[in-house]
Amino acid sequence: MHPRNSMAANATLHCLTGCAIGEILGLMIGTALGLSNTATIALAVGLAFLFGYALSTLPLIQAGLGFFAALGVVFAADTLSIATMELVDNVVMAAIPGAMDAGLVNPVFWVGMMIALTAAFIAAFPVNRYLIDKGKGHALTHQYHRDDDHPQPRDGDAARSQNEHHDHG
Amino acid sequence: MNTNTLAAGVVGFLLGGLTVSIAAELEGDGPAPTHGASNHQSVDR
Repeated sequence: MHPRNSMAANATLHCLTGCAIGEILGLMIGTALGLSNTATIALAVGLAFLFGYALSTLPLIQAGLGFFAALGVVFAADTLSIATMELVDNVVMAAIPGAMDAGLVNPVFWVGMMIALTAAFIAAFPVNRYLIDKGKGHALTHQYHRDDDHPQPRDGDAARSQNEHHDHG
Repeated sequence: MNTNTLAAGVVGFLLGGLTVSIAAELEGDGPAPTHGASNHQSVDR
């Protein structure tokens, strides 16, 4: 596999994991409480962004970055990817007949979640690949990772200084 | 925590939820079969 495709796949999986945790939690809570579809989707999207950002921020903080500096990098790197995933995930979930209204003990809910998350991965992969090609997206956070288990700043002060001058838009 | 571990956990959770929901669905379809007992009704000849 092309190294950038591999990097994009890893970035997408990383985003998707955080998104999935929040999304599943949101849909479970919404479904269990019998919330409306709109309220359930809003809850799921909110939690997906929260967990998605958290999953990316924590390794950077462990790598020695300050909380707000880490948050700034993650906002710039993950927002488009998470937004794409959430859009596709919820549209697919809403499009599957009965999936949003299915209870937690209904297999349609779980099959729907699997289909929606797979579609989200497929949709977000080219987005991450594009961002990496542009030197954005996970390319921004990648410099702080030696690997996923032991994130380290590649070049402490230089990276931090470079980071402060990044356009976070 | 490793992302792959978390991703595997998410997949496992989804599969677990699916398994439990299918089991619940099957349970709701009718009385569960019991060992050594037949649901067939005897017919007097």
